[in-house]
Amino acid sequence: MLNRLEELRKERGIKQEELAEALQVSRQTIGSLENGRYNPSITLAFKLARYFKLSIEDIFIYEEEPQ
Amino acid sequence: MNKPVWLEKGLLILGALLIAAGVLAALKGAEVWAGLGLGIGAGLVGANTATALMRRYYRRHPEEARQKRIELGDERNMAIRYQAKAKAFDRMILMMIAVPFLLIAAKSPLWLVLSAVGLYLLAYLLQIMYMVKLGKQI
Repeated sequence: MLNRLEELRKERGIKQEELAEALQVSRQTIGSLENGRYNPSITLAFKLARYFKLSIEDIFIYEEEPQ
Repeated sequence: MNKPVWLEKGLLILGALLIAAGVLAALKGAEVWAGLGLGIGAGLVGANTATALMRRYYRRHPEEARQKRIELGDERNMAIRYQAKAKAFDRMILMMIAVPFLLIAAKSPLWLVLSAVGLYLLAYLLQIMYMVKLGKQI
């Protein structure tokens, strides 16, 4: 799953550490989310959406697997 | 996850008593009881002393304690821990296949060979039991 996390964070001038602190997760989790190695739980996805005041779909881009 | 302090202190005292009993048993020549007392006692004392020291350290360093709490509850870290445990179980099960054969080769008594096979089966039974239990919960 692709996401716009890094783009949104940089647009707002927030450091990974600051975002991690606000969401009560580790900085490594933010890093893994940004480079697509880790997909968040629905709870964390909602927390991210609320933090950026966007919808989940504005942050995460779901692409169906080719058949 | 954390033990209550009273339990930690109780286990520490129990460990010290077991060490003392182990020393006494060693002096009286009861090697098996000495080994059990010293082994279990040292384990209890070591583990609970380490927990007490960590608790004390984190009380003095609240920022590190807060960071540790975040890392423990972090969902990615939890996913990593669960996956690591699952993979370790798979590897252990594979290695356990060899144990009964090694025991047979070492001419071990039948009850020991059957115990090793029993442990192997128990691991699978526990896996099935948890799959059924979690299947109902999740």
